[in-house]
Amino acid sequence: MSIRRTLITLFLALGAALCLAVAVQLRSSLGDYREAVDLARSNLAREHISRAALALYQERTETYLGLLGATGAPVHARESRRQSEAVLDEAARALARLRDRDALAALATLRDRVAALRGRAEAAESGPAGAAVAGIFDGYTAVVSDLRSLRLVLLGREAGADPQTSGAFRLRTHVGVLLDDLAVTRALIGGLLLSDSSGSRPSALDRAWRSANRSELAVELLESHALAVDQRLQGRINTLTSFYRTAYHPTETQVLSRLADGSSTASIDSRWNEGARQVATTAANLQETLFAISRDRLDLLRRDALRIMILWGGLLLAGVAAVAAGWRVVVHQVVAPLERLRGAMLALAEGNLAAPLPETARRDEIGVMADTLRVFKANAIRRARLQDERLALHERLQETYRLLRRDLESAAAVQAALLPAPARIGGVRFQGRLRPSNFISGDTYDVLRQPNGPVHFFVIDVAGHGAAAALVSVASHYTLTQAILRRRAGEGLAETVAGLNRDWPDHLPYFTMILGELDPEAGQGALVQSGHPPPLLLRRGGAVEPLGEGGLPIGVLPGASFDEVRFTFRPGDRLLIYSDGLSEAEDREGHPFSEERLLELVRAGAGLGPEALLGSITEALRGWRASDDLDDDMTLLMLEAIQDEHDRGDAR
Amino acid sequence: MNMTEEMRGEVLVLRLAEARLDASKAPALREELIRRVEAGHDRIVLDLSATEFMDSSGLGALVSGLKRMGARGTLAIAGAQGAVARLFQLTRMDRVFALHPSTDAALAQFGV
Repeated sequence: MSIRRTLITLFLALGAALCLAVAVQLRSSLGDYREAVDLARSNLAREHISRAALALYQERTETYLGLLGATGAPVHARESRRQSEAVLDEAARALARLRDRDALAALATLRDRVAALRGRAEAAESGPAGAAVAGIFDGYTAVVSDLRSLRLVLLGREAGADPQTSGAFRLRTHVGVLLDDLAVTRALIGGLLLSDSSGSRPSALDRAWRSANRSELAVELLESHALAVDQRLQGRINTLTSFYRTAYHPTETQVLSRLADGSSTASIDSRWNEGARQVATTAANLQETLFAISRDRLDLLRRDALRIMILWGGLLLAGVAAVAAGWRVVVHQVVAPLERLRGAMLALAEGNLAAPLPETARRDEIGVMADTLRVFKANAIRRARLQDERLALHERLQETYRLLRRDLESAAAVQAALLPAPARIGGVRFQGRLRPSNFISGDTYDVLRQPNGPVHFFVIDVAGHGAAAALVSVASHYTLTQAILRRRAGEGLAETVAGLNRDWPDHLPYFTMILGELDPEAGQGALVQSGHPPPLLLRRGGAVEPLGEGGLPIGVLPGASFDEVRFTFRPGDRLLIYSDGLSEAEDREGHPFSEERLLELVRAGAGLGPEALLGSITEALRGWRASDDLDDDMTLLMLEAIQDEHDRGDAR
Repeated sequence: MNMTEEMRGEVLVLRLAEARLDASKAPALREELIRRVEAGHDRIVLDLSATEFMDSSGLGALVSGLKRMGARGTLAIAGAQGAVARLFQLTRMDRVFALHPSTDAALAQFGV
């Protein structure tokens, strides 16, 4: 799994968990907020319903008094109807906002019933009042009672209101009851004061007493529940209760008592009216205060819920933003640079040295990795350049070697052309072998004669080997050839060699050689051994004898003298001359081939012809070396005195 | 070139520690000998007792040293044996170089 995928998975998982948790909280807070909004709307609807009830109390009172013939009552009644309509419209709008169809329908029914009551009231105004008045009053009372029930139904649906709010609700209920009873009492007493001789007097008085008592109870309840609420409210409740107890209630009791015993109320009528108006106004003010407190409280709760919801919403956005920003940072700072480094590394690994490296000025791990990669690339480029240079150098070396080798091969061909082919000359048959250790050779040999003179031969081995030795060998070959061709009659071989030695340039390498002459007709041979291994004389009978006891090489001491070795050389005798490349050739353990081994080989091959004998020697050498390679040039020259003319083609 | 040297009196003794004195070693020996001769040493003993094989290149190096010494002094060879001694005989170098069986014998000859 790549780092990118791992990080993506990690980030998505963490981000999803975070966002889910916050979203759950957001959803919960959204629910709380909706609930708070509903509570506030419901409260507002109840507020309007309560006002509507108050307006309908007023309308009931004005209508009732108007029907009983109070002065100016019809005008008041119309005014109060207009006001109740306005308040009822308000209540209907509040219920519509609450989306409570049932309550809206119930309200509409109630309004129909109010409209019907108004129709009955108008009919009663134009005709005789009588018993219809009490029916209309009770009709209003029933409507208002149902309206208050509707309010209680709405209140019942609200669950979980806080203690402060529910305390206000309870006070509102008591104030509602108080307002109702005050209104009933006021209407009934007003009616009683208007019609002293009404037939319904005893029951109206009775109802007035009851409602007066209920209002007293409501005031007591208000007092008992008013303890846990705020100062503003406490003041208004105190105002209401103290006015009720000190001013209103005594007057009320007094009026009712006088109405009951039939005495005149004239002295207190106006005081009673004023008190009833004032207590109703005070109670209504208290109700408004309670409304305001509830509204404020619920609004506060709603705002709290909204704030919490906004907080969670903000947290959700912040969480998403943090995850996104974190991911962006990780991608920009870690994942993308790593992927660029990875690409560059792969390219380098594949040998693509032209691949660009990611540029960065960072000093953290990524920066160090990029720097290191830059070093790797530089090293790789240097290595590749070195490799190219090595290859080019190798190529040049190869080319140079090829040229040198071709040169050497050409030189070797030229040098080989100096050597005589197997031949017969002046009664002597000869055959030579020369194997350079490396193309060109410090060894050389030749067989030649002056016109009608004896056959001369020489074998040369220049000290060292390689190009210098090969050039010196060619020079010495030429020098010796010239010396042989210029030999004066009667000049001894030793004398010739001493001359050669004297004339040999001091700065050139010295060389060893065998220089000899053969005269098979006379049966004689002579040679000078100049630092060269002793030649072997193979007698016709099979005997083998080394010739000479050594001698100075040419070019060591300018004034040196040399010895001439004389021997008999009759037909059938053979002379084998070899260079130290044969006798000193070493096997793998470093043992030299040696003169002794050569001597044994030659004795064993005494019966072989020249070709076969030379072949057996080179074969033995190859076997000794276990290879075709030689460390030093190797030369073999065999000369044989021809026995008779018939032997010429003999391959003995 | 494996070689040790010491002064015995006025004689410089060089001991060659090479078993083979062939074309691969000869140029270096030649340089060493010439350098010492040119440094003023006119009595040198070269001990070859550790050397088992010498070819014409090695002999050439000795000859070069000898030529450089000329008539000024002596280059003596000590401890030549086996193939080395045979090469001296074959080339008659035993007549050119002062050959001694050992360094002590050579030094005795010099009177040291």
